[in-house]
Formats: sequence, structure tokens, C-alpha cells
Amino acid sequence: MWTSDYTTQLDNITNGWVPDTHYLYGDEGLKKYNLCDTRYMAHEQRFVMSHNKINPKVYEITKVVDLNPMGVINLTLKQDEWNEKRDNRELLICDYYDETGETQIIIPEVEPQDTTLTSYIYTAHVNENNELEIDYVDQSVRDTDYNKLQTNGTYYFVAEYYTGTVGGEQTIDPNRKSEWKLELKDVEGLTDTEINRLDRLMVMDKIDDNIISIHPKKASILIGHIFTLTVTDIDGESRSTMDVEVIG
Amino acid sequence: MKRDIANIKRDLDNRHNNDIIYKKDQLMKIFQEDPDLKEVLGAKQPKPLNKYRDANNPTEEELKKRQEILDYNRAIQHEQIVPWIKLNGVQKEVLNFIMFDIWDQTDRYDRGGKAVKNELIEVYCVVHEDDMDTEYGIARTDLLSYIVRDLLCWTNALGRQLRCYEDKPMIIDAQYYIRRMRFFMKAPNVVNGHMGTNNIYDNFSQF
Repeated sequence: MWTSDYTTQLDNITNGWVPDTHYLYGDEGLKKYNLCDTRYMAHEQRFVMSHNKINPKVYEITKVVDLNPMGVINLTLKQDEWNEKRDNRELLICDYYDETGETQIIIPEVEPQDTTLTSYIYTAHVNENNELEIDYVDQSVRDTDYNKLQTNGTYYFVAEYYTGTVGGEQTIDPNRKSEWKLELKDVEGLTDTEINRLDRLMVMDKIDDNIISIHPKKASILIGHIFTLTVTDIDGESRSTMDVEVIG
Repeated sequence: MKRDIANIKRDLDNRHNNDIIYKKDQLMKIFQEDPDLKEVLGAKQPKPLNKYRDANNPTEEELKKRQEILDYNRAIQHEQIVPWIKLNGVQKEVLNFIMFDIWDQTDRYDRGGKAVKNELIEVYCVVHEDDMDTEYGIARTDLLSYIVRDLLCWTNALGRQLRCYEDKPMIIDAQYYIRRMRFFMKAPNVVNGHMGTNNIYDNFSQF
């Protein structure tokens, strides 16, 4: 028998049920009305875990521990009180109403438009004034054509970030910082030592927040290998890749 | 014999006047023109300049960034191939050097040392202890000495055939590893020269 300050009923819950409030409200709705987001199990999140409309049981997350191995999360729950003002008994959703308890949140009919961050990798060359100039090419060209690198050459790559709404206009975001990674793509049939050796021979230097140079060293074993250049926004919001091939 | 000091004419710019100056100049060219040597010396590459969005009206931020790049490019420009054997202070930006010098000696079997001399060329591959490792998995000193030997040993780069007779690992200055290579060749004697002079007319070497 579970006893607490809140309830004295038998608590025989065998499985949990968490309504998807994000689906109902979208990002903007959750932010606007200060509602819980059931997609992310975070601290102080309240939700109904029973399907009992007469006596719904509310729980609140007090502790989230990521365990090893990956994929196992240990949540600590505390039983919470049913809030007549904010919770919806019909739908069994906590924090359904706003603080006044009167205004029901109207679900907007229009799909919420998320702001998105898109990143692109461009190649760049040094022009006659010794300035770095970005080669703007279409996405299709970048996707279909490998970037061909010669050993003992120096190649420049620039990441640019664009923010905007889905399907809407995108504007350049100059304040983003990048994390770059270059790794061998065609690893099949190669030992770890060989992969490590090939990775070491591709020297990557950071020039600026969003600019790097790649310098394939003068080694014939590099020729014919394809590397994947990945750029990630430092906040982890956007990721973009490009394949580069050493051809000679 | 009186010296006519007023009429001594030395063209100081003419490198053919002196054997050692001329050969050092040749060695400098050989080393500087080799791209692999430059690569293994680990010179940092100068950064390309940032491009102004509006070429005529750069913003303050752009100008500041441009200045930073220029400062960096200036800082990394140290000569790495030097025609003397001396570490000119510990550098922060440039760690590795090729140093060389020429040592002339009279040949003991040439009576009086009038016609032939022994010419020893010393090349030092100087590598800072922090930069010994290369991407090729070979120690930087070994790679440098391999390239230098490839450029000089058994070649006629300086006229007569050069022969490497020593390639010795050493430690100097507590922080630098070096390989000292010594090349040997016989050369026409201009150490003493004829009649104690050393001018263009005495230099009868092959070049």
C-alpha cells in the first residue's frame, strides 16, 4: 500500500502514459504558454501517469540520470498534487491551462513554423589580392561532385550558417562557430593502423571560427581515398558534410 | 712591394669572387628550391587575408581581423635555412632549421697545399623536441637528413662529386635534436690561392 500526503489509494500502475503536448502545441505554443514539453523528460516536469480520470495520479520528475550503457535513463519521480487550475481532467494532461486557470489554450490551426538553422560547406580559394574568396556553388554540384584534392596542396573550406523559417527566407547568421571533423569514408578492408595513418596524413588547420584549411601530406597512400568533412555548429544545432577525395 | 690601396677594386656583390661565398649561395638555392625540405621543416603556412564585404568601406571588425592575420603572417616568417651554424635564440613560431657551413682544409697529400684542397660541407638538421614527430610516422630529423642527402650525396651539385661520410645524431641546447651531416669533396685550392691572393682570377674551379 502506497501512502503519502496526497493519496491513500493503491497505486498499481504497470505502464506509464505521457501525452504528447509538443504535438498539440508546437514549439511556440509551449514557449508562449509556459507549458511542459513531454518530448524531453526534464526536471520539474509534471505528467499524469494513470488513466484514472476520477483520481488521476500526477508525478513530477526530480532527477534524471543518464546511465551507461547508452540508452538507459534512470528517472526519479515524486508524486505530485493534481492541480485543478492548470490540469485538464478530460484529456489527462498536466499544465493544460495557463496560470489563471481560465483561459484554455487554443491550439493554433496553422502548423507552427520552426525556425531552422542550415549550414553549408563551401570551398574557397585565395584570389590575386591574397584574400580568401568563397566559391558559391549549388547544393547539387556539392552533392554530386567530390572535391578533388592534390597531395601537398592547401585547400580552404568555409562554413556558412543560415537561419530562417521552413520554406521561408533564409538569412546569413555570422555569429555561429563551427566544430570540424575529417574522417576517412571508405574504411572497408583497412586496419585501424592504416586508418589512423591515413587520418594523420590529412592535416587540418583552423584559420578562423568558420574557416579551415586541409593539407593532404605528400604520401602516395592517400591517393584514391575519400574523406568526409563534417561541420557542426558549436551548439549542435546544425550539421553539414562534404566528401573530399585525394586524387593525386 | 707597396700596396696600391686606392686601386683595390673589390666587387662585393660578385659572389664568384670567393669560393665559399659562391658555394654557400649555391647550397642555399638548392635547399630553398626543394619543396619537400620546406614541407618537412614544418613552416607554418601564412593565412589568407579576410575579404571585405564592401571592398571600399571595410568595417572596423574586418580591419581588426585583417591586422591580426597580417601580424600572424609576419610572426611566422623566420628564415629556416641559414648559412651558418648558430641557433639564434629559441623561437616560438619557428622550431626547425637547416644550417650549413663550409670548412676548407689543405690536403695533406698535396705538397704545400697549392693546387687541391679538401672541402667539408657541414649540414645540421635542427629540430625542436616538441616537433620531432611528423605525419608520416618518421622522425623529422631523419626525414630532413634523408632529403639533404638526396640533394647532395653523390651529386655534382657543387662541381666535384660530394660524398657524405658522416650522419650523426646529436643533442644541442637541451631542447634540440640534430643530425649533423658531413660531406666531403676535393676542390681546386683557393684557400691560399696563388701568390697569397684570393680573387676572381685564382678561382679556376669548374663552374
